[in-house]
Amino acid sequence: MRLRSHLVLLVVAALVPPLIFTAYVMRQDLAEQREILDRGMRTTARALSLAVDGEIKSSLAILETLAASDNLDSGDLKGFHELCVRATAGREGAYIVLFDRLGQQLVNSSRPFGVPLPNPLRETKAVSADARYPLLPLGGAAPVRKVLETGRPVVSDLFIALDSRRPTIGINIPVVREGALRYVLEMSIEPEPLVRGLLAQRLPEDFVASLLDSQGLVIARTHNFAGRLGTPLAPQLAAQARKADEGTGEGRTREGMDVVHAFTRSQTTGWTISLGVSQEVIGASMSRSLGLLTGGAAITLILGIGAAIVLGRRISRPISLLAGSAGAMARGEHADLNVSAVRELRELHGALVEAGQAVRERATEHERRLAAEEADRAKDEFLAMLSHELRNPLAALTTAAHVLRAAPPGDAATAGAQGVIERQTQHMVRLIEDLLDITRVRLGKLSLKQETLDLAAVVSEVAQPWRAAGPLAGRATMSMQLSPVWVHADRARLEQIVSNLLDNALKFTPASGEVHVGVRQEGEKAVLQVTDNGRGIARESLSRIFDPFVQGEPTLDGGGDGDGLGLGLALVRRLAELHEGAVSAESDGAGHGAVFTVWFPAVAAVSEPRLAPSKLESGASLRRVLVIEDNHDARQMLGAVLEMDGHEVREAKDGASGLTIAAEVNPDVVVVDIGLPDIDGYEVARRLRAGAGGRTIALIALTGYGGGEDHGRARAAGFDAHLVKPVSMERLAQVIAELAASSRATPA
Amino acid sequence: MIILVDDNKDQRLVLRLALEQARYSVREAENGRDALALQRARASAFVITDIFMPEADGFELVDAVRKEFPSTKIIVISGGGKTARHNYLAAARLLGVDATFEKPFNVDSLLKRLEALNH
Repeated sequence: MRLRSHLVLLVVAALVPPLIFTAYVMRQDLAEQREILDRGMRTTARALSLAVDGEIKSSLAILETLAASDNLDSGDLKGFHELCVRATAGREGAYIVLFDRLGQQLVNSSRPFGVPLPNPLRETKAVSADARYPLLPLGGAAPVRKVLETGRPVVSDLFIALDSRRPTIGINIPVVREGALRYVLEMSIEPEPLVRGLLAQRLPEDFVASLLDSQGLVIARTHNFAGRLGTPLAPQLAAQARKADEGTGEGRTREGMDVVHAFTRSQTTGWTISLGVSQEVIGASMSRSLGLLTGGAAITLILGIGAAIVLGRRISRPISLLAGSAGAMARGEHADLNVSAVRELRELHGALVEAGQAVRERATEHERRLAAEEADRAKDEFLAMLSHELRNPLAALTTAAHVLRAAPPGDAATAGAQGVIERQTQHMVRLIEDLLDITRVRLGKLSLKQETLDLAAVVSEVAQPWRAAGPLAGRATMSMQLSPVWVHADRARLEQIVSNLLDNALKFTPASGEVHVGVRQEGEKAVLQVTDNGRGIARESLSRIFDPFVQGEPTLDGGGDGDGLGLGLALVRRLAELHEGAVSAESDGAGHGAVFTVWFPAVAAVSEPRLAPSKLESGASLRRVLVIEDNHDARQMLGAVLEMDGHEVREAKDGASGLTIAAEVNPDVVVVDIGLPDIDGYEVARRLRAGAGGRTIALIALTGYGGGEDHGRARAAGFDAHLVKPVSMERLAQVIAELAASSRATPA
Repeated sequence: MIILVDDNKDQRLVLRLALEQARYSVREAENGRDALALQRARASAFVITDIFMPEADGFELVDAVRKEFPSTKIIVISGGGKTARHNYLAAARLLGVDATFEKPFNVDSLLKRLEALNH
């Protein structure tokens, strides 16, 4: 059920009981009012009855006085007539009649004395012929007869007087002389004075009072007297009046008016006073009260329910909004609300907003913690991996040391152990270089020495030794399709990218497989693509394969001596990004080979694209070059390349012989390996600088390490340039050319 | 007399040289599967094995040898895992191998242990 309905219910529950109570009280009140009205009406009726009785009694008093008159003793009827005329002088419509014992009128004060007078007892027609009063008897025979029979006073019902022919009532008393009834004396009264008596009671206008004789016929009436004289009361009302001497009831008058009816019967006369009050008059006040109550109740209810609906909406709308906004908060959206007028709702709104914020903060905190945990886990795994990668070569080295210590001189085991030491040391050096590189990139310490290069030429150079050695080393065969495309790049880093990609492809491709290298221009991009049909990459690993410290597949450990820290591809991506390029990897899954693509922004070709060696020829004059390098292969390679460039080359395999040769030939350039077996490269440099012509000689250091410290030591020892192995021949030629140029500018 | 199992060729080479200097005869295998094949062909008194290797890993080899050749002594050498922080050596000890060595290890200690197990 909606809040609004609850409130309406509340209003109804609060209002209806008092309304019912009020209605009950009002009903009681109405009944009481009715009771008061009835009582009042009965009292009024009784008062009217008493007034009429008073009138009759005063008439009786007059009659008693007349009956005691001397004239009747003496039989002086003429004198009695005069007496009677005087007695009724002030009373309108009233006259005195004297009957003898046979009913003969002897005296009639309304007539002159001596005229013939009627005898009602002998009147043959019992009913008057008067059409206006069909119910009235003609002549007052009944009361006269009754007085003659009972000897007691009798008040008559309405009748038509024999002489006046008008409706009349008669008050009859016996006239007794010496114990015998001699006459009947009657006062005839016409009803009008009685009507005036009723009217004199000053009844409220709505009251209708009637005086009825014992037959129930109207003697007097406050309303429509003339029309109703001599007629009976309405049957319903008449029936009520017949049943009791006094009472109340309801009914309808002959005029068709619904009335409340009160009546009382006089013991003196046997007449009845009937009092009617229109229901309309009483009902009006009652129905006014009822109307007020009903209307008030309806208005109160409507106002209450209206207020409940308005209030309900005022409360429920913000609640609905709050519910909506709570949903929004749950979805992580921001929810703004109109502030409600209800304080509790404002507080709820505030609490919800706070709760939402708390939830968001907790979610953010949770994400942060997850990220931190993920980073932590990656670091831990990296450390575990690093530990593994370092422990293996170290184990081989310590074992080799043991073998060398235990082996007799010239033993075959010595050579084996030495080979292991060389290979494992190289392996560790490569690991450490990778580590240093990735650290530099991560710390933003790697600066690029960018120049405009032909990507195809660089790839060709880097791939050359791999291609040559491939079939011999049991590697996959390599094919290339290279179109010249120019990029703005650091040569050393570009070479690193290419060699890492080739290394990776060859590592995971069996000897029967093939690796294809492509370089081409696609719009604004220079694209390098290395495709193999080797082991491929599982789909779920594709997205992480370029992440640092994450090796795509732990099971790829089978690379034997070639396995590393999994940093090669991470470096490729970082370096490509430093060049504003990007990398991507695709594979149809394990066993389906892989495609690695690197792109760089392509730049316009340099005006005169030439191969690197010819650049050297143009800028460099031919020099005497001494190469001091203990590694036979490296020395011979360097010598061969420099001779091809047209230099005059001498070679030495250690520091001592190098110094000797330098003293002999006085070289322009000396290329010194730092790690020499007898005296190290730094010492060789210091001695050369100290020797004859040492100030102008160009010294180039070759080291396995590229750190800033080595560079600083090389400079301090007197080297002009410092190259990190493996040395690009082109780079060496370039350095020699630069040094030669600067030495030309400086006079010896 | 000894089967030497390690996926690193250089490690195998130098350890073999050291063991031969101590007058043991050595057969090499580069993974657990090959090692088990060698052992089944002709049982050796000792198996010296790395744990983290391709193909059947060291644990599988240890398990199989312990079941099939109860008298063969097993020595585990390990440089730890590549991706996880699992303590392989502790796990190997739980499997009931006769000795464990963490890389890089002291060759003299290894030889002394072999000597002790041989008697």
